[in-house]
Amino acid sequence: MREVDFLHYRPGSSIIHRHDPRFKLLELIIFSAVALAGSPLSLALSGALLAAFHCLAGTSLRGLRKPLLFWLAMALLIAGAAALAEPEPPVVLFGWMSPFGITGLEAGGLRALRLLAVLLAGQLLASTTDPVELAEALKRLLFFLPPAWRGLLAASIGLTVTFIPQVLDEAAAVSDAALSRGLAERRSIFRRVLILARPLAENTLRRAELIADAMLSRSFTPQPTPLQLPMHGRDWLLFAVSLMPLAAELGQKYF
Amino acid sequence: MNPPLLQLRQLSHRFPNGTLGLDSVSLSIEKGEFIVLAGPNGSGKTILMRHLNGLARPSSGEILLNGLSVLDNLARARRIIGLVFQEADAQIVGQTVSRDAAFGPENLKLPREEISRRVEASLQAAGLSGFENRRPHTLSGGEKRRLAAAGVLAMRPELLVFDEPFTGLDWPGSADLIEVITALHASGTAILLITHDLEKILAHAQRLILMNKGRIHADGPPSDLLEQVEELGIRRPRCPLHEMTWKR
Repeated sequence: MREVDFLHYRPGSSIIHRHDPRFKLLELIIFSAVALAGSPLSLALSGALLAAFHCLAGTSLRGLRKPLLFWLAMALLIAGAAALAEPEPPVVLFGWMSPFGITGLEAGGLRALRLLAVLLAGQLLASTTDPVELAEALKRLLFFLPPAWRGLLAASIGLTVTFIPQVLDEAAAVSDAALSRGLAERRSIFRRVLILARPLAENTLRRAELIADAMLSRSFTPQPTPLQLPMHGRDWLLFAVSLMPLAAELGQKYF
Repeated sequence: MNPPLLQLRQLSHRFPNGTLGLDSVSLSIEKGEFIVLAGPNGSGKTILMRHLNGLARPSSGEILLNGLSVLDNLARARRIIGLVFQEADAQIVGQTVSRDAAFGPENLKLPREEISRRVEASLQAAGLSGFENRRPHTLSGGEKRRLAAAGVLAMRPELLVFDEPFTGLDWPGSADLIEVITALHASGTAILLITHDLEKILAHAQRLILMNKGRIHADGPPSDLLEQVEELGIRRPRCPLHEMTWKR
């Protein structure tokens, strides 16, 4: 089975792992809102806090490699597109006047940083929260919905997260088999993708059926025994710290 | 007289394409029995297993669990009959070993303390104590198979069905699994084990059932049926019956 480290849970016992998932969900919303709409100062504060929380969670650089690579590719696209859209004043490199604008590049860079903060916040939540706890937290935060809807929503999230490594594993197996039979010799990327897509879809559906059978035979219900989610003083403390970027943003706006 | 733990009466299953998967299968399983079910590929073993706790519906015939129809109370059937599938990866749904073992008891809506007790006991029975916080996908093939068994054991089944449990396992993995299976049988759990690998387990079985083309070809003590296995394309081990085990 392939090890997935992007947006995937890694068991641990750090203070962040033990942090109440309801707070973690709220913190994700706060960090994301500040990162997407806040001032550069609030964004920097969010980034610093997220980096500190990742350190507390014991996140290794290796664990962040895939999210960072994904971000880097997206950042280049975002910054490049913004710099092309605003070509004035142009970036001059060793006397060569490029088609990229400095203002656009700055705006694009800021957008890319905002995306990085959101990715780090998502990765922090996903890598330190068991999907079962996440689902339970969602169930409790969405108390205003009918219980059956909440149960189904929670079950869907848990299953999706469980299924991701299985699909990746299937994709790798299908790709390995095709490559060993000379897939790389095909020139058209489109044809290559088509060749892989059919067996991947078939195998994924077959595996989904197996998982469904296995879950049914273990009496699956969307309303299992609820998890205990006791709140501690440290949960409130971490939550208070997480409110700092929001407080900074509001402070700048109103005072 | 008490009814058998499980009774299949004239069970038939026809696939949507018209092929007959099971053809008037009748058999009964008593509490605490150890049965090996063998047969060539496509003989109907796995589809038979899927009928036992209502995952598949028969075209005709009935399945009785302690005298009551399985289809009338699926939840009860799934608690009493535990299935351990061939592909352990597809059976593991938890993000940690203990979470996976807790999946079944949580579905039974048991109190949290009881769930913890059951998880601990089932992991111990499967030889997985100390693995509680491991990610299931980092386990070896044999450990995954034992985790799949632990996940079912935590539901305290009376009959445990293993589908080709030794597929892809090396000798230590198979030996550890046999250790778990025989210990479960010794503690009173009935075992139905589907396999081609007679030399790994048959010494422990009290009954051998041979299937072919969706029908029961023969059913009886292993010593009486060993001569017939090669007719069905199953390799007959070249050793005395009591040596047909990979148990250490």
